[in-house]
Amino acid sequence: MMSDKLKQFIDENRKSFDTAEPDPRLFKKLQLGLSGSGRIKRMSSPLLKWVAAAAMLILVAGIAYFTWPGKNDTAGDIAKEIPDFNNETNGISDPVYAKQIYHFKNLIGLKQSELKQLEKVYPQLYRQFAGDINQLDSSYQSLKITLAENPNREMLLEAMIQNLQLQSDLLNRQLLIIKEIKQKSKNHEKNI
Amino acid sequence: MDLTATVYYDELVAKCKQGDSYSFEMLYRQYAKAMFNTSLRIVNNTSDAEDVLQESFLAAFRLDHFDYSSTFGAWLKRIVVNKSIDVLRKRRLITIDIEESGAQEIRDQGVIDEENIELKITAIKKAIILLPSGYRTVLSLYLFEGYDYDEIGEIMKISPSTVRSQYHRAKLKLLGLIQKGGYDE
Repeated sequence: MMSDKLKQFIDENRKSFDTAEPDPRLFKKLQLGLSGSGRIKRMSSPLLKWVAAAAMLILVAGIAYFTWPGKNDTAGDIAKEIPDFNNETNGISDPVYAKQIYHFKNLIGLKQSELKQLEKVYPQLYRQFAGDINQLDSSYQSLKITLAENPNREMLLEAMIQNLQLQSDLLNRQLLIIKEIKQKSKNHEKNI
Repeated sequence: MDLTATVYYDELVAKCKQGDSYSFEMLYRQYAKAMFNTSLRIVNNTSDAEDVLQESFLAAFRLDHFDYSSTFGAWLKRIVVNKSIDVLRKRRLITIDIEESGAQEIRDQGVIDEENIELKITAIKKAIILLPSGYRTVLSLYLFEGYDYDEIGEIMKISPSTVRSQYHRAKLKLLGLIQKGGYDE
């Protein structure tokens, strides 16, 4: 049998054979393909992952409450609480991040006051929901404190924005749950 | 790859599964070039190799079937190789090659004295491009990608003994092309 001088030569020079480079635009295309399918998202900090995990737990807890019987409510107008721009964006020099953070804070404020209206009708549920939001918010506050000391500001700011998005999403879910409970109790009354 | 590197890449894969974009980029930077060259040697065409690379990474990063039983690199390479062979099959290049290639053309080349052929990287690269698809694939998988005859047989859906004979014919053809010369710089 022939000796394999060729295989030996290629083994010894293996790396020199991989000289072709793929088009650099390919990576961008891939990123688009993956983010389009919702596969890749920004989640670079361990703290942020913790926040996301906490949010998932909270959502599960929220859904557990979904089946609780509710009473009819008499919620009034939504009280609007406008957060102070300078107070919320203190220490954030980048105007784009500052704007985003203020926008979310504003949204969250509106939703929180909407939820507050339901405190009298669903006190236990309200306490649970407010506790969930507070957990997320305490992560947000610790991110805010870390921001002052940390050189990697962009990553932290993104984590802060993502935390606010989670808070906003959670409030949406909570409001939706309450809406459904109200609807169910209305139907229940009709059937009596 | 040492153990630390394997653990590092497993960690990147785990983060990637969670949707971490940084880990995805790191894995791409680590593997894209090698995988591109692997595909290019089989499909013999830049545009097809780029398509294979893109599809393979998309498939790999769904990661649904990756269970850490092999390294991520080995797993990704298998996807790249399979997709590259699919390209040849779609072009109906690979089956014809395997069935029709006989010993006649090898005999026509005259005597090949492997020991006395001077091997040079550029000459080998240029000669590989000229091989028929089936030969090129078997040769690439055996010489460059480190698969054995059984594994190549499984990948190409042919028997290991066919792989063995195809490899030897492919090698003779390649050495013949190098011997004829004109591929060196």
